[in-house]
Amino acid sequence: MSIDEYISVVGKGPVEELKILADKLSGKVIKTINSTQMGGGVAEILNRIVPLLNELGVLTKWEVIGGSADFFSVTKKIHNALHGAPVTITDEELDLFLQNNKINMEEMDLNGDIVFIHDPQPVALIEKKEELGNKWVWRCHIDTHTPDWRLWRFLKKYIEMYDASVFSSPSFAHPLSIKKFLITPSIDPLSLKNQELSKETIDSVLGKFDIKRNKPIITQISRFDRLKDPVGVIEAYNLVKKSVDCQLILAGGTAVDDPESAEVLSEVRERTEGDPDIHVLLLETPADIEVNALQRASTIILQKSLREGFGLTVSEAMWKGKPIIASAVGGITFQITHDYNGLLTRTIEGTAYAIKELLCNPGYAKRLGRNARESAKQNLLVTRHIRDYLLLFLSLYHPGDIVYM
Amino acid sequence: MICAKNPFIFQTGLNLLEITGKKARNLKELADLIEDVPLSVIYYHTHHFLPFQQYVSPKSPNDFAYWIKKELHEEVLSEKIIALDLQRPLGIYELKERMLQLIKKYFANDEYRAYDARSGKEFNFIKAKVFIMPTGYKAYDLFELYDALKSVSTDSIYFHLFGTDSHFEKCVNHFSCWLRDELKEEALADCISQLDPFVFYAMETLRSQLIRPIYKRLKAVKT
Repeated sequence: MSIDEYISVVGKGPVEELKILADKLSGKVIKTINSTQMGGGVAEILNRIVPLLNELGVLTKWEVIGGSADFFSVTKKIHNALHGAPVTITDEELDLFLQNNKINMEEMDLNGDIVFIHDPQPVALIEKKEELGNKWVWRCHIDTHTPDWRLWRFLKKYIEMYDASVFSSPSFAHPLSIKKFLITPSIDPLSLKNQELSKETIDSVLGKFDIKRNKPIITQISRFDRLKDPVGVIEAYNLVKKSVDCQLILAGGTAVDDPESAEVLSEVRERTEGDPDIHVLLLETPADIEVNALQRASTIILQKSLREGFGLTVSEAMWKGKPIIASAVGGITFQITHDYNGLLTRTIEGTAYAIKELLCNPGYAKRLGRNARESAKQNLLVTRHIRDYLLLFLSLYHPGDIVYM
Repeated sequence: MICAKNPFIFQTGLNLLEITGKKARNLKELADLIEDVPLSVIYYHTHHFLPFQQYVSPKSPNDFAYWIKKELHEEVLSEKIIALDLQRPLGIYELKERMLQLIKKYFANDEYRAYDARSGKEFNFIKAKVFIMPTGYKAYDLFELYDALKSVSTDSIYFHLFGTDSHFEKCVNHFSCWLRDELKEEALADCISQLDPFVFYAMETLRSQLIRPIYKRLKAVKT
């Protein structure tokens, strides 16, 4: 996708400004590092942003850390503990975590003017900074509002070695001795996952999964992860189903860095056995067209997460103008204003009631969807995200509250 | 038609938001922090469209007023702070002082309930680091100004309507200044200086509101 193609979505001015900003970073090399190439929001964003940064002339290289299954089990625990889930992480597990970071430190090329690290998995690579003398930024995509404090203190030692940090919400950012910037994630309106689809394509995807349009479709697209509460979704659906006929789609993929998903998927399958109106779909990554089609075919989109860094599936549904019911947690509350561009709920019962409310009032549901689309256009697109990253990189070289360029 | 000696150089002001880490749970803490934070923080919280709110209704750009109403349920005080908007143009320092006066006076009011916001709903003070740069567009006369306004970003339009001096002390409407000083377009300058970006639903509406009087003036000049 070429950067100029975004003019049709956001206009000429913002794209021209991206080119000017990128020009100011000419000659700089950005090295961006995370823990997975595919699956999950971070990889998805990088898959879109990295090529566009390169096209803009900011040389950006993307690398992924390696690790054993044990390492990723620990990082999954770390992820959950940062979200505030009750998890015990032993000293041995933290040693394994650091050991793996050390191995990556030796094996990876960490040269570049700016090393941009995503999330906790590769956080300890920062120990290489002193030797290399380059700039380092840590980007947290997780809802760390109520973290496991012992773990936060452990990570903080490493985070404070960076030049700057980035969070998706002010409430995720705890006191740090380095600068904390606020940048929200984004979706790409021109990607396969978000571009317009023909009715034939949507029908063909529904056909592939044997889903009929004979009753309203409620959908949650998410990794099979306890924090996305798929079981809570099933319970909400069961409550609605007593009075309004509908069908449920639970669709998601897996990621290399998420060893827990198979267990959750099997539990979900067990809970839904015997109901032909529940479609549990394990999507092969990437499944962009499938996700796009399922979202577009849905009557209502759910995101019943118990914790959520930002919730890109919410942004995607907003862009598609869908009525959304989502939990009032983490970054979702940044995107959804209750009763205006979606509904925010806090319980299974509340979610069930909201589903019924929207199914019975299609005009209201449509209005919520229309407002959601406008909000997404204004705030959640990749062009705004690239602009923020370019400003972030420039800020490392330009101190002061006002920078004249 | 007059051609300017000094062209209007379109710049843009792009904000990188920084979390200051300062947060207020109640009105007293809010007042203390408003007193304490740099003007760049006050500028940000009073001069941007509320994120994700602008399609609901035309909102005051004052985050403090919004939070006081939404999280502390102090509607009366919120209304009074919003109404400071009627006294624009106010310098940032002046606006800060008037907000503080209103809040402090409110402590003695019967309506005051001394609520604490719920955990996670505190007022987070954000600072905007502003990057100002030329966009490549410039105009020597009204025609060129009109043409450029159709293409530049809304950030650029916003910057020129709400441009601040280098110390965040006052706001300047660059369009009006240039129209008055360079093109001697007094009436048009007055008309544009009265535009209030926050009464419009969306930034694009603001663009069309800015273009309309220029277009009218161009038509009048032609005839």
